[in-house]
Amino acid sequence: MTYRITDKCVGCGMCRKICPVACIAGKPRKLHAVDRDRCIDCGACGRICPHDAVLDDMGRRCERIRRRNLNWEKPLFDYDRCMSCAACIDACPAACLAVAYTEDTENRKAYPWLANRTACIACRFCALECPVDAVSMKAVVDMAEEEKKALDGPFAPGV
Amino acid sequence: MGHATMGKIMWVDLGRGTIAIEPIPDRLYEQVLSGVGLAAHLLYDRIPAGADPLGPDNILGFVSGLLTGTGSLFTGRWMVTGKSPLTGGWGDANCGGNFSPAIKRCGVDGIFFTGVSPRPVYFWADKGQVELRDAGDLWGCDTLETEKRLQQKDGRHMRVACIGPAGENRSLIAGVANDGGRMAARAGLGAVMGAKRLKAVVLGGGQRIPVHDREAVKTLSRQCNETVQFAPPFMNGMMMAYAGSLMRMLPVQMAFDGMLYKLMLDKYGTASLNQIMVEVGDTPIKNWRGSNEDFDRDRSVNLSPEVFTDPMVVKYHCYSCPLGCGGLMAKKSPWPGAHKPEYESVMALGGLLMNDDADSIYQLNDMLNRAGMDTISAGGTVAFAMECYEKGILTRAETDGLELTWGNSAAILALVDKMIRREGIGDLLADGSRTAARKIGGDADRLAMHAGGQELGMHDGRYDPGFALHYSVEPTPGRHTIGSQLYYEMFRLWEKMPDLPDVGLLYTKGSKYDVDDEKIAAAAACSRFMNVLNGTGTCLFGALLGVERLPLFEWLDAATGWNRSPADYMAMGERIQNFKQAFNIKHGVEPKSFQANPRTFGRPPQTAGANAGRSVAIEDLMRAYWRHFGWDPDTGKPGEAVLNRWGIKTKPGV
Repeated sequence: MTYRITDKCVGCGMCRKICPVACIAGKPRKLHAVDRDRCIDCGACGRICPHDAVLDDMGRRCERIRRRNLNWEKPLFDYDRCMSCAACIDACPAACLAVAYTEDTENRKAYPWLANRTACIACRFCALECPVDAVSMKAVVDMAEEEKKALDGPFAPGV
Repeated sequence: MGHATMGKIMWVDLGRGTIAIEPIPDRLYEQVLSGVGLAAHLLYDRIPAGADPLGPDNILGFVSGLLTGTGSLFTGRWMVTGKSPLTGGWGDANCGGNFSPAIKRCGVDGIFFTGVSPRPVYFWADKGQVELRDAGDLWGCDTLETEKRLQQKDGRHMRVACIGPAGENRSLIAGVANDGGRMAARAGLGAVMGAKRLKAVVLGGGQRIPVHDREAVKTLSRQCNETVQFAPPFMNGMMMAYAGSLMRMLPVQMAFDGMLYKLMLDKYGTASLNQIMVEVGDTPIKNWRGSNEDFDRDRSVNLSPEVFTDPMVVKYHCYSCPLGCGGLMAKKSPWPGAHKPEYESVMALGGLLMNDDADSIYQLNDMLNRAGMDTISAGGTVAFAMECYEKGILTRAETDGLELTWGNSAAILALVDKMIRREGIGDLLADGSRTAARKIGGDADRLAMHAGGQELGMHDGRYDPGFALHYSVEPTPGRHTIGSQLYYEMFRLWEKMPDLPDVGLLYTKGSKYDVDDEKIAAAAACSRFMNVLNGTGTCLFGALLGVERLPLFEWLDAATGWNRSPADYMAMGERIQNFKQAFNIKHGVEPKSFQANPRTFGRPPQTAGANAGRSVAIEDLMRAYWRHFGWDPDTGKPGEAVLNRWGIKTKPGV
């Protein structure tokens, strides 16, 4: 089962624009449809839809989560656990993660970080695929100050 | 759709410009895994006998591994497959980097190219769209430039596999590059890509990879990672060189434990071997004619592990690798962002040519990676030219005035540059040592260190007879990455399959050269196991940890839900071996013709150095190995009964 769009759809096109694998098609103001062979169950359409017109892979109605209020989850990386395997970067369908290098010149590491915050669609695939559970997801509004700071990566600007 | 596989492959006809999807039934994966097994099955069937490797009938396949993207570790290897223009038989080349998961994220387990494009093109796939795009402006660009320009155009997340000028020029020792100069270098498949006028394969994707029990895979990965992260303080390069000298002098040998090699890889990458392997006698010196005495510690110190790791700015990890044996150079170095030269490259361009100038090796490595040419084959071919020059077979007029004396780094640089551009003497050498020797004629072939046309890896068969055997007996000859006695010690397969021989802790050095059932069982197990690794996309260095530390069979069960025994998986490896051998027979390649140059197995024996007096009974080993697989011990041909047992249809001549 994959995500589906019901006839509550008004054709606003927000799901089509956010879908990371471009599997939603539809003309403006017309009913949109998901290509079920290509849908990856990321759920971004369900979170963005202003009319609750999307059913998830279990057939449940998805609730809109307001993105503007920083309610969407973002990945936080535990660099003590991270082994630099880049599985999270590969898992990300929105290509919003990248590698950056730590400042430490003696034992410099290549770690993943959320390089494109606005592109993140909160799909959790990075957390799901991390073999050592070094990625956790949290809505930005719920983050403590230091967690918000950690979103900038463990790197000083310019490194 | 099964688990851990995508259940589909893609066919791209470059001549017609058409693209098609073919479903793959689950039961096929259960017979030959994915990766190299899937490719061997398909290409054995579909490349017509006698097809020109550089013609439209050859099929070039890019395949991912069965375990790639399942949450398992060390499983980010991808393979290029096809009929090798270098050996005329089965060709596959294996590479790390970031391309393997990208193939699966496009929803397929492999992308296969047929035909020849009328103009230079590159293949592009992203978000469910697939296209052949014009590559006219990329033709002539080196591999790093090609990758950079494609990523600038199509997005930084795009994964690129491409050829450089060497592949475009159809140099038979050209490879395919990915992620800044990592190479699927062997078997000359870059020339096939060039002949098809396919400049690059550019993949985006975003599809998810199905896993039977992802949590179980992850639990195994966490256990494996704990082993990998164990890193107590360790010896430096010169201490390892002295340890190597000591190992050379001792009459007995201790079975090598993969944990020790892991510590070396963790600290230095493969460069850790640079000095120690010269000292023990594993590194061929001076076109396999010299020894550690010719390239002693005072010379090899110029190529010590530190020389190659000090300018490194950060470790390089392939996809899903917790170890990171690669390295990237500092932006301020003369080779900004280039990959650290590997042991094989350093020695092929160093000890093999008596060259101890590290700067020249950095430069050669960068040149060859950019050109998309195999460093091992390039080094082997230059060594051949140098010995020809020494013996007067090549004169100074024929070398375009280059003084090809041992260790002349300026001449090596100039010669490699000519080989990349196919200019003058470079045109003669750009197709590898066998082709060059045939063109020169006379005695030259005796000086070409190849097996079936493939230049040999930098591991000496006189030190480890396992290498001599696998160089000569495999369907892909001349490879150092399939098996050896050392690898068998480290794989520790007997931990999972008690009927395989346990090597014990200590053995006498002389016993390495015995031909007995245990040796053959071990060699055959290496071949089978390596096919399983290449079918699953697993890294050899991960496997060298030993099967009780790298839970390959357990990962396979958790990812697929097949619940097979290790012996069942090894049987799949044997089926793949039969497919590859049958491929060679179908294409008229005599397995016997792959026997490596006699120097490889000590005929005549060396008179000095670590391997003095050593020789290997290669014919006996080869016969016994073939008999072990049920193949004709005289010819190495599998025969109808054996092939049928493995469910392989016979073809005319097979």
